[in-house]
Amino acid sequence: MSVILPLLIRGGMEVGLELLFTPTVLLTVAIGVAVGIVFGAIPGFSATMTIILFTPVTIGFDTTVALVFLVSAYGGAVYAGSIPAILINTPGAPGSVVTCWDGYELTKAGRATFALATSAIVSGLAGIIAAAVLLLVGPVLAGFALNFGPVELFLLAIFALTIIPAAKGQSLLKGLLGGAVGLLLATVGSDPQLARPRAIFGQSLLRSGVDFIVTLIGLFVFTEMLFLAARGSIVKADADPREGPDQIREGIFAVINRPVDFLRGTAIGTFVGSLPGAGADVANFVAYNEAKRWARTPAEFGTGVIEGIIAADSSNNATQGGALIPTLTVGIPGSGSTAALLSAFAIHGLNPGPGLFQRAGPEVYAIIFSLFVGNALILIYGLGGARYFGKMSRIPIRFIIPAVVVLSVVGAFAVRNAHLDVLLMVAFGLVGVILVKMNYPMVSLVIGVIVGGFAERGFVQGWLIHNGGPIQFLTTSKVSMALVMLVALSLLVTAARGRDIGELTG
Amino acid sequence: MIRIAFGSRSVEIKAWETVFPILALGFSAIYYVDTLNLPEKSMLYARPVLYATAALALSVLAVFAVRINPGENDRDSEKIESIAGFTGSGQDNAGKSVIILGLAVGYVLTIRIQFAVATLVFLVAALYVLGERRRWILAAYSLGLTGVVHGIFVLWLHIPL
Repeated sequence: MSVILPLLIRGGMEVGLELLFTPTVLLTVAIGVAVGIVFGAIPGFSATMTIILFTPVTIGFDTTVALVFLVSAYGGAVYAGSIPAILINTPGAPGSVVTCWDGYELTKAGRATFALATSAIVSGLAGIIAAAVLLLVGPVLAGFALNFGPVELFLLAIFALTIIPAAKGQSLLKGLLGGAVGLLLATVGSDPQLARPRAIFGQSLLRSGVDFIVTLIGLFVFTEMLFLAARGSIVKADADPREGPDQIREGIFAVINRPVDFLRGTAIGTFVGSLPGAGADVANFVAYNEAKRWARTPAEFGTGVIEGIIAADSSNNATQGGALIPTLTVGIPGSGSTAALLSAFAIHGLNPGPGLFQRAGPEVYAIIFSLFVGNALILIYGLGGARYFGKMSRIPIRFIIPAVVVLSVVGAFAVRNAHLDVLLMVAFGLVGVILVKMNYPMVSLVIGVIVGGFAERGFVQGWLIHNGGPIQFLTTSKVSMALVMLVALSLLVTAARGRDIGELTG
Repeated sequence: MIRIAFGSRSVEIKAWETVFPILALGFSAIYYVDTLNLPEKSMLYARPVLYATAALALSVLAVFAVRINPGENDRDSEKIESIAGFTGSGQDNAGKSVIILGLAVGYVLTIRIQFAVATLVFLVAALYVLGERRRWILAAYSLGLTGVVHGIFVLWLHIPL
């Protein structure tokens, strides 16, 4: 700390604070968070898409205002992804997938406001803690994150896939098949080695692969709308009739009474977010799995327990600060959203990487401090809006389904302005119906598609570096060995739970 | 569920359990043929993933979809698997899902012709199928939502829908 603090002050922390506390910049934070919440709450419009859509809008802005706006919108969108996840079982972004598991069950039980209030509290607080970590120990964490080379990133992707069936309590074999199909889908497109088109089936659009957002919208949004049409309503007939304020109070106490769950999720989110390439999508699985592992009644996870939301949303929002650590300090984005932010930084004349704090200290510190204000606003907006958002779950489904289908079509099209993506979205929706009915952990397929890109790059680079030696490949470093052990442990524990063994023996 | 008997022995196939593994196997086979002539370096990672997918699909088929000599008291063998039925609740109505799916497919195919008109028609039809009969609601909802979506995504964000 004695080394870091003088650097912070020399880098312009005080000027950064002054920059932030001007009326224009504070108003920018307030508007940015609100814009992020609105767009992030639309299924399929992830934080990444929000940043990409608004980067051109900010070109005429002052550098600090522009970047503070985008970072605030990023924070708002990451939080807001949980709103549709809780209300209609539709994650607004990949990082909110796990929130669906318990959040939607609570909504069906008439406890949407309780879930939303808890989500807002843990999201805001976790974001503030992660911002403090970014401010104080960012350079130290960035140094450790650099230990994750190609092999470690590949193993991290495999680990993420193996823990999903364990986290969901479903069949390991089915989970692995879903994950493998996801990884295979992610290989469609130009190969990263020779740029040769691979399995594109004559469609030039597929040279850039199958977009994970299209997969996400199809599997989660479209599938859920079909089930919702069959089911008739979101909220069950025996739902909790209590109104908003009671549930908000319960949400506040739920977090106060579970500090360990909250802090564990926040720590996992900050750490995983700081790993290059691994963002909220990986963090919330790890955090949920850990929360379940340490719970007194792990079997209740997925049935609407508040600990599931605390784990998912604290880790999800803590990745904001964490993901900015490698982005700002070494110029390597910690997630898809920070990759979009990285390009926005470059457009505005700041080149993230070593020396950024010296080159543009005041602007960078203004951005970091804006995370504190932005996350406090998430808490305020989220708690203030929880009872109104919660009432949305009681809107008749005849008004929800057509609107969500239209937004899904638009969202899938907007990814690459291509009709093929819309057709793929519908196809994934149908696959989703089969996966749900046959009790596959559907999210395995999505995660396979999401991590497939960095898994391939990691595998190929590592394999070539080690001349195809599997032992050298797996024992590249202590981190890789630890990850191999974690993968093995995860597989053994899930298999030992006996689902597949039971099926085998009939 | 399909049951095939050979004298005293029988094989039971859970038809719906075969769907996803067969899709995965089919995709793997097409992928294999499509990438057969690619250089080894292009397939360094993809080939093992392809083989792993096929192997896992076969394993799932063997473990979950096929049962040899199912016991008389085997609860699983007696359970009727139904996708079309959307089993689980008396309120379930698979017919509406199928109609919504059909409308969505029609919508997706017609947005290439004229996005705003296709959206308007889809919204009216979907709302009607889902039970709304008041004409003014049908008109206000569909026109309003089409206007908002068109305004935001086509006019403001310039998405070429």
